[in-house]
Amino acid sequence: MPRDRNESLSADIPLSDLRDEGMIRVVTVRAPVCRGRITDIEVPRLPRGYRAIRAEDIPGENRLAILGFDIPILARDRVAYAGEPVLLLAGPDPAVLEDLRSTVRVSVQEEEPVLEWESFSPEQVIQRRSAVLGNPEKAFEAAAEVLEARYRTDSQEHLYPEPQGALAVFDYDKLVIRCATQWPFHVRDCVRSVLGVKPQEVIVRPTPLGIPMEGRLWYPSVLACHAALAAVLCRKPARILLSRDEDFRFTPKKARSLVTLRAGLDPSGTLTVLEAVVVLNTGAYAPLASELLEQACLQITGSLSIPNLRVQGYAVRTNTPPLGAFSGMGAAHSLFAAESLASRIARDREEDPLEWRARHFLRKGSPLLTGERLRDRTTFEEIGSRLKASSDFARKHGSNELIRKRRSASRSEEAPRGIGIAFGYQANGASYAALASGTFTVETTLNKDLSLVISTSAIAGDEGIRSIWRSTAAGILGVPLGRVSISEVDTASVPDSGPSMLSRNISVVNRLIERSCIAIRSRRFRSPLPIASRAVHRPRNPLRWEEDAVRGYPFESLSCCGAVVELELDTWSMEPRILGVWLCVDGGRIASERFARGTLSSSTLAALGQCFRERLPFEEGRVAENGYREYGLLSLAEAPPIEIEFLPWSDTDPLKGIGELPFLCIPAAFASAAAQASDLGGESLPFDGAEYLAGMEAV
Amino acid sequence: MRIDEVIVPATLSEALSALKRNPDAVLCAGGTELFSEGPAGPADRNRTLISLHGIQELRHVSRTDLYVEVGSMTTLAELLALKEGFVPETLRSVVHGIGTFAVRNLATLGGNLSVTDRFRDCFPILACMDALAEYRQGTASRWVNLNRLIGPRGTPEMPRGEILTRIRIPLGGWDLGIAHKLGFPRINSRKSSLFVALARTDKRALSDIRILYACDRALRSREIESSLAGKKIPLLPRDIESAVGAYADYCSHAGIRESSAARFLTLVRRAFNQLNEGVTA
Amino acid sequence: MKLDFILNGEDVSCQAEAGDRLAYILRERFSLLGAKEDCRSGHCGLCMVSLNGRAVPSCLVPAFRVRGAEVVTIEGFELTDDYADLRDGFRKAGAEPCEFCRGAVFLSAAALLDERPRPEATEILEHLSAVFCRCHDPSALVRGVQTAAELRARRMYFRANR
Repeated sequence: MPRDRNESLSADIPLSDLRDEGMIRVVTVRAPVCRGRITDIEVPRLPRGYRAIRAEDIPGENRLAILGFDIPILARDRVAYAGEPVLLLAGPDPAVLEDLRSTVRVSVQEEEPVLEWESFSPEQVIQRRSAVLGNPEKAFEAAAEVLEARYRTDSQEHLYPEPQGALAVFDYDKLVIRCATQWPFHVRDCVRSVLGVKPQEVIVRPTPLGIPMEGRLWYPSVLACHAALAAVLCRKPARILLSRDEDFRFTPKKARSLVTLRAGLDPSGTLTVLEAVVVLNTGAYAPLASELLEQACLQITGSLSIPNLRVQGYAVRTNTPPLGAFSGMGAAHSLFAAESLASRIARDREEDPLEWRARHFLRKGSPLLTGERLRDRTTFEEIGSRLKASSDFARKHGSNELIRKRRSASRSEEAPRGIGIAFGYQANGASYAALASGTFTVETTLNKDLSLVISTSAIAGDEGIRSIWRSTAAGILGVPLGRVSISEVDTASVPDSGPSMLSRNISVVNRLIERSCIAIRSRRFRSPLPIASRAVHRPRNPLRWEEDAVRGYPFESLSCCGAVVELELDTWSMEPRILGVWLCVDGGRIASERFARGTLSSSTLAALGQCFRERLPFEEGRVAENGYREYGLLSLAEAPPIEIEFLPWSDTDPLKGIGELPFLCIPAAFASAAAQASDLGGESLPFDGAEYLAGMEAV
Repeated sequence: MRIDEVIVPATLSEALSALKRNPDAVLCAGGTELFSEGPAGPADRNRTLISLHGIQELRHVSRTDLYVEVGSMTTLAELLALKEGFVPETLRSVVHGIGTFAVRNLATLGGNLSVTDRFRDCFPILACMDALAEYRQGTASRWVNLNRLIGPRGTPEMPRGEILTRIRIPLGGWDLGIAHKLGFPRINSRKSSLFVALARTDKRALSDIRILYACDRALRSREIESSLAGKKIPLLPRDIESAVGAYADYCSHAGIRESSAARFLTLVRRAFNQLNEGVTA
Repeated sequence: MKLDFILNGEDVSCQAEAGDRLAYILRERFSLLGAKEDCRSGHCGLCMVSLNGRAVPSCLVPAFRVRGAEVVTIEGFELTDDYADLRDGFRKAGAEPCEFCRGAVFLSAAALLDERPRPEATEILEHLSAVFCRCHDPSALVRGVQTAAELRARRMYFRANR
């Protein structure tokens, strides 16, 4: 039963299922070493219909420009990581292309790769941020106790539902790009620049995105340029589709982090001062490094209010594939460190972690790193008391502590248990210095037949967001939900609504829909139909980072969350088994509880995976061939019960983003639980049961 | 995947004749190992392949009071579908931890026992149970104790040019039956390892104990096992310490990585403790 | 080699290399794109099909195993009442999987319901762990399969009593 195939322009078909008549395939020849100078590329004699594409063949600019970074579309002189694209091979038969690929010889004068990042050299620093609040020096002098800790997180794979790629097809005089991207206009602008053509000659029509985990912001643009080059140079529709192995080994992953904290406590155990050094390993070419680093610095105190603060942040270049954005976007690294520190202090002081935190929670009026005071009310205390009740936290924590102390005195064969709690917030409408610097637009049109069309380039990863947009519009205009549609994304016909990342689909796009619908409502009986209205988002003043200071208000609103993770360690393998996860969320008005729960549950699984399973096997700057086969995904069979509670909301409350919250709270809650179960510090994720087991018996 | 020729025999005798004609042929059972995309291996070279998937007589399962006999082409799913108690529970739990239900619909017991790069999940438990494997070549057949397929360096030494047809698994209760995979469930990783400990007691004395740890190689010391036989249960702390010490020496002679040795010793100690707890309970 | 087999109830024939994977054959020779050819190691399960009545990852099934076999893909399964139960059950429970894993989830769930008409939550999660996708919400999937199981039982009952 073959499907109807002439669909290369259809919107709801995944990229890997798209074909076009006469389509050629494109494969990538990659750099064989981590670092060096290309001395020669030897291409065998190619059969008729096949073509090699080198950097010199690029008609426009050989660079992808993003946020002040230039990333080569094809490496010309130097390679910065093993697997960097050096040459493309295009032709009709994938099997022939594979054979040809294996015969191309890329000679590189190899240089010693830079892989060390925890202690880095000044040349490696690509971004630096620092800021001070209060008087840290004086506060340290007055501190009764000073403690230090280092918190590490490793890289993680986004694991998109289909490997990345792009298709370039001709539609009369236009080149149409199909790819799964979070940022269609970025794809268009890059392809235009690489081909050296006008913007209107390139149209981007995205394919289904799945759950992007913030990893499809810029890399799809690289692949789109590859497909576009092949299509234009060979004059045929062209598709590049990475294999799972290629995607796993050579495309961007989550940044690795090391956060060093030095904390000062007064005699009552109150945290009065914190000094933090954040180091992010962003691999080669890390265009989002500034965004990650700023969020990491701004959220360095987690859910805590600390009056004296010094933060230094460094994004560091290494010769691994690009490491960068992932759900939790920078803040996740800091929150893991800050919340783990909070649990550690409580544990050292033999206090209940919730009670200790209650004395430190960020509240309305708390000083922020930027010098401003928090304008929003926070709900951490209420969240904490609800979590305490739903998870029976105090009792379990207390009894686990007793067992832990006894365990260190005598060997027990019982599976050790632990329970941990952590809090965090998602910053809605955060001032991303560069990513959100444009003006972004949404257009809605009320037609004569009273149907309403929302026109935006924002990409919804799942049906939930689309449903919220439609409900918002329907509610304002009193139009039946069934009459509200969202136009297919096509850069030729929809306005640029910016990158679809973090909570922007809610905090920016949904508000623009609201505003444009309100504008239509006000004209509804005064102007004839159709009425179209455009709402434009002008970014607030971005934060100003200066030497040792940052100025401005860092976000529009907060979504607060707390998480409890309970686990036990398998007596034999010492691998964690998650017994339960409790989340309590204050996400403003929840438009669809069903979708919200679905999003939080699936994010919880991914966040847990990062805590003890998903280890990227980097060896000497590269991921081993077929590393994917050994990538430890958390399967549904191991999924714990996930209990989600929302704080009550009213219909007038604003919608807020909540999808990131599990990535912000769960790692620290997990680490604290693992620390209780294992007696280890819980300072490094992912937790390695096998290593722990080995540590139990000295040889 | 480059395969010159595939022979799909319908009967065992056809398979044996095909193997005689093509002694270098690769035997394919469920194909889950062979067709997993991996670094250049046998499947990537031009080879003749004999697929055993169509041979019904290799899927036969039978049981007597003393043993259960499983045809080598019995899939892992079929093994799990047997009624409870038909095969030893410890084996069942090991099989349940292999792949997903869909992979187990393809993977076979014979295939699992025949992988040559490192021992797969079923091997350690069956070796500890003294399971026998029947190998056929031409008109000849022989039964081999699985322990004899562990080479002197602890790595697999699987017969070549013969077809594994049946596995005979002795029945008989074990007072202690432990089989644990270390590492991630469902994944065949170079980093995962398997620990098996079986023990029988008789009149509060240890009558038989077998401990096998399979990491990048299989570690089993008959000598230490014999030295433990006859010890009173519960084992005294000094017995445990001396056995763990003996295993530590064994590991250092075997030259395995320190971390692997440390894991092994922790597990040995745990197995002894569990044995004691079981008896006192 | 020439391959003759039954595909979604029809006798079909095609040419293939002996080592071609079934997922590849379905996609390239028959344009049946429901099975995704993704990891080629049985790891993700997105290429699930039914082979002689058993759900298997088609990336691990070589062409020579397909000869004479009966293969059902999600496209064929979509024409059955069992599929309608699953579709309606998942929809009713608000548990629709994403466009990438939908086919694999439904075929895995169908395989479970064939064996266990009233599955427990743990059995459902165990079975569906054959498919990996970041979209999965475990409790929604359990609700989806259990609702489908009810619809299926009801349909069977009416059929038997008609």
